[in-house]
Amino acid sequence: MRAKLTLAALCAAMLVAAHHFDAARERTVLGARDATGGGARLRLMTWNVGYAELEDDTRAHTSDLRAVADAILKNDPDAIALQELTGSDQLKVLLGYLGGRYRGAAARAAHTDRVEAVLVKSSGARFEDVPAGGRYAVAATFRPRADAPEVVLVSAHADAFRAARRREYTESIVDWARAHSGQTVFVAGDFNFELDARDESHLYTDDLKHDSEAYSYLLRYFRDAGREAGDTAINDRRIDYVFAPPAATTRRAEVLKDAPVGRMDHMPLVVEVGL
Amino acid sequence: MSDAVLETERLTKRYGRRVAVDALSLAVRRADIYGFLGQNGAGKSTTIRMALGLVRPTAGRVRLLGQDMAKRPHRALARTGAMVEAPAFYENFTGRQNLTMLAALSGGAPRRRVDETLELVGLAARADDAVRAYSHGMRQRLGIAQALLPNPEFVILDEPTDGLDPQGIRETRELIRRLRDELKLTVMLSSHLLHEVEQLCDRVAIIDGGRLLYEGGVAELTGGGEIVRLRVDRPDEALRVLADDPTLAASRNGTQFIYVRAGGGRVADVNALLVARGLRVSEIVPHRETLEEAFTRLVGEARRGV
Amino acid sequence: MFTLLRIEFTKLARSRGFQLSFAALAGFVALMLWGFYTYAERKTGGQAAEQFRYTYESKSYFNGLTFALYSLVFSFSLLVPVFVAATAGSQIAGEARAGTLRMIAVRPVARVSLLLSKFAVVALHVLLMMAFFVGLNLLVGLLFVGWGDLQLYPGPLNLVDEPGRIARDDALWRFACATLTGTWAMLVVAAIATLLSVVCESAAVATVATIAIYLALYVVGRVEFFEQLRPYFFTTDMDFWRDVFKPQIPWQSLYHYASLCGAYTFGALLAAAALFDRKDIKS
Repeated sequence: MRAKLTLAALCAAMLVAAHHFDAARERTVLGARDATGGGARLRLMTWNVGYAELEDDTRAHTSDLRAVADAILKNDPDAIALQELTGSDQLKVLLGYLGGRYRGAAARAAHTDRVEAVLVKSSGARFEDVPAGGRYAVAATFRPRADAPEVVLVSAHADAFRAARRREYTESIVDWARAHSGQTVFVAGDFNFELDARDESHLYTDDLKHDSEAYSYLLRYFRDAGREAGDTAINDRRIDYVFAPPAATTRRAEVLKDAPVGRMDHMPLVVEVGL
Repeated sequence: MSDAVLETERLTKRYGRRVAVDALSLAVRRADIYGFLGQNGAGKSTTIRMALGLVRPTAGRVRLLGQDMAKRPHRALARTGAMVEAPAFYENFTGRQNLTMLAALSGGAPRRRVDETLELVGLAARADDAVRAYSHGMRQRLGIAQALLPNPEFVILDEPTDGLDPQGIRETRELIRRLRDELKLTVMLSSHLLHEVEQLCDRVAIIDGGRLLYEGGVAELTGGGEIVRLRVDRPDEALRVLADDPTLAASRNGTQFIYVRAGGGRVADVNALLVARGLRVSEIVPHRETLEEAFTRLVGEARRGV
Repeated sequence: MFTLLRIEFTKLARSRGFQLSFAALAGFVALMLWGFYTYAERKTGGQAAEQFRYTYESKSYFNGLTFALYSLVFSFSLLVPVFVAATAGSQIAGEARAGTLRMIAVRPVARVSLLLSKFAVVALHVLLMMAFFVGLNLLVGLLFVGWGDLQLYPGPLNLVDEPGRIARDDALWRFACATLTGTWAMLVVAAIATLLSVVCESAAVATVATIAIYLALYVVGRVEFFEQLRPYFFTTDMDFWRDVFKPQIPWQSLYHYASLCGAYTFGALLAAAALFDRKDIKS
């Protein structure tokens, strides 16, 4: 009887301990102020403004661009990476709504019907196409402030359907960034990575392997600055990223859940980093 | 204080609706060699298992060496040796290792004592062989040996001669006698071999269908002069006449004779009764049953509801 | 109790299953090493080298420690539970079937003590298996793969969200911790197998039932469809053992899940003790 009572007591003690430690589980505190208080700050936004798959045309709708501009103006990022614009015409409309506060460029169209764009506040920005996996991303080189060092933001959009292509595309972007090692390069966009192995139900594909290796390759040179912000797309998916140089510290990472309009399936991710 | 080493009091075991042991009350006295008899499925093993705490009784009580088995089984088990059905051992251990290990669970036995016990059961020469190489008879003897370690007062042997050849049976019989005569142990013996039991046991219990049919001395059971054999000219009619007297138990056992249990000097009354009904009695001989006959008679009567 | 422990350990150490478990683990290490080399050879030759250059760019991507970690994680999920279930599942049911249980039970031994000593010996077996396996993997890793810091990558191990690195000396300490956390987690399987060993009449049935329950929950827990049920599976909580390999060990979470595993273990043992105490030994 004594042994059984001991077992019962141990079982109860374990349950109490489990409860105790569960309540005390730690969470990463986001937006904690930098104790040093110093350093330049850079606020970046990435947003795939296209529509969900159930629409006829899943590219951005021009009628939504007013709302996109409002969200941008409200959050006042230094630079924005947009995806799934139909082309330069839509970019012009958007820049018009932004009242001349931003300059931007769309990527060169290749074999796809949608393009990435990058917008920056800085008037002295330079734009260039980034060849990646048979298509193009687009990059802006700019100074967030006059006294700040020059930074580069790449707006990227990896293939939604094939993990192998995503890996090839990602590898090209990273290699391009490494070639610009003298500059502070940020990469932002929709990478469509499926990284959560717990949700893996495609038992017979290499998707998880491709995505995790591509992601690993990115993280050799970058930090996933928006990691703690949570899901960025419908169906609880975190597929939009802002990759920052390892030295940059995340001050804020937030997904703007109320920003999407129409049938948009992504939410904008805003990341503020200290340089 | 009772001199019983094992007492059961209305011991009952039910498995669902089946009653395996039904209100069984037994008493094994100190220094007895006590035979526990019954056909297969009669409830012998279940009773022994309840006596040793292997099976929980549905009702009733067991006192082993004065201890209530429901409350303090370990004190009693420390002084009891048992072999329940076919003994089982760790096959990859030697006979000696098995004995040492099992004895350790009862407090341990010095090597000398283990050697003596192996000698006693005739296994000294094979003590260091793995049990997997043992014959059936050797396993039976090793089973008895483990029951004798470390120093029991009471030994329960369930079918110790099961599967043994005649030589093995004879040796086992001698061994059990020595246990009582030399080691002063009380032995409870369950066996199918009624001839062996008759030669060994002072007292027996016979059960059938979980119920006790007889408990007492072997001599009392087998007659001891109280049974007479009659030769009568009309046996069937004689049986009917005797059946009218409830104090007499008569049977024919398929022979031309009639057997009558007529204790207390009532042989003359039996004779007078038959003669008064016109039957001619040509022979009256005192008769002693074998244990097997007594067993068959008791079980038969019980099943006929006599 | 000490006598019981000594006897039970002697019996276990001389059983074929005990020796087989170590031989099988050694075989698994050899298999892992073979698989590792064939994979590396295939993936680093010709075009593959170009595609996987980021994987092999740094020669320290795979080293002895990484090899040991992969081997440990894969075997822990699928191989170790089989041996734990087999050892624990045979403890009562196996002896009952063989008839040796009644030989012991007619001795003055408390049944709960017998059960707990058997479980303690199983726990020791698990610890020895884990220590042997970790040690062998590290040794093989050192001799055949090379030494270095432990590199961590997101992917099949589902261990980290972003790449990390644990310095070699720290990593060795983590492997020592994993031996303990792995043993503690695996005691849940051992306790369930012990419980089933009390309930079932055959060691094979107890073992197979334990493995079936474990694998069913393990597999189902990894299918998205059962997302909502996952937190209720003990296999989910058992995963805590790997947290010692995270760059920053999440101690609070580790204690939480370790406590839950402890509750499963002691709960199952309590049920086993209660049932065994009342069990009719009829074999």
